[in-house]
Amino acid sequence: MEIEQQAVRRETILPVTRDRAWDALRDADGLSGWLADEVEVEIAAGAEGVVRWRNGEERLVTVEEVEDRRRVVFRWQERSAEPSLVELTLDDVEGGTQLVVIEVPLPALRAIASDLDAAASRPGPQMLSSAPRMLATVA
Amino acid sequence: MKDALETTQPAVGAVFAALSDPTRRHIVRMLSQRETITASALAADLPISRQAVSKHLGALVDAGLASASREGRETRYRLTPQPLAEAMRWIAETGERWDERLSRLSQRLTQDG
Repeated sequence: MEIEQQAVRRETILPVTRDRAWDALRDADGLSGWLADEVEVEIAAGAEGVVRWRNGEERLVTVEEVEDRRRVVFRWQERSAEPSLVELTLDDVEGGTQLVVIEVPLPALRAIASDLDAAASRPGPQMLSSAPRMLATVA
Repeated sequence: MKDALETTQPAVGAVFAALSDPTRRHIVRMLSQRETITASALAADLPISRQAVSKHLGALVDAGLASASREGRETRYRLTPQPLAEAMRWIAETGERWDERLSRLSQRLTQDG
């Protein structure tokens, strides 16, 4: 029995400048077609909306944090499922722009946040990035 | 927005939360190595008090990762691994969805050239 990671993390290098990559994150038009088939939410902290897929799947979205040309953090939740937090981060790398995606179920994140809180008393948006590192393995 | 407490799906997040603690991960490993074990026996192998072990075991029981049964004066704990399987399925499915999304994004950015 093994849990390699307790959060999903993906990274990819997009062969475009960070400005071009940000165009795909900065608003509903940019996100539509890849994040979900339809995106109806303003990419601004606190904004609420919905994303839909052609198969009828729908998730409620709340934008948590936006850092221009750098990061979008949102919470989403399918009906009757647990909410999870998603962080999309852009970085300049050789050959283009690196996009890092992290998705963590929200209750797990709260537990990590309280651990971090106790340890460092400095919780913040960066806690999501450290989640996969903090969550080691059961092997 | 629906409250997480009303959810009908397995509480994957609760499993992750329970396993975010290194001591609890260690206890899960120890539970996986035997049929049942008591809090005292676990405490003997760990640098923490029996009371602390009991608290961790309680958290694991709450997350559905362990079950407790009374045998005489002792409570014996057993690993119930089903929620782990569900958590791993969540990781696999969520990861697969992101692979699809990122491939769509790459494709679009490449086509736009």
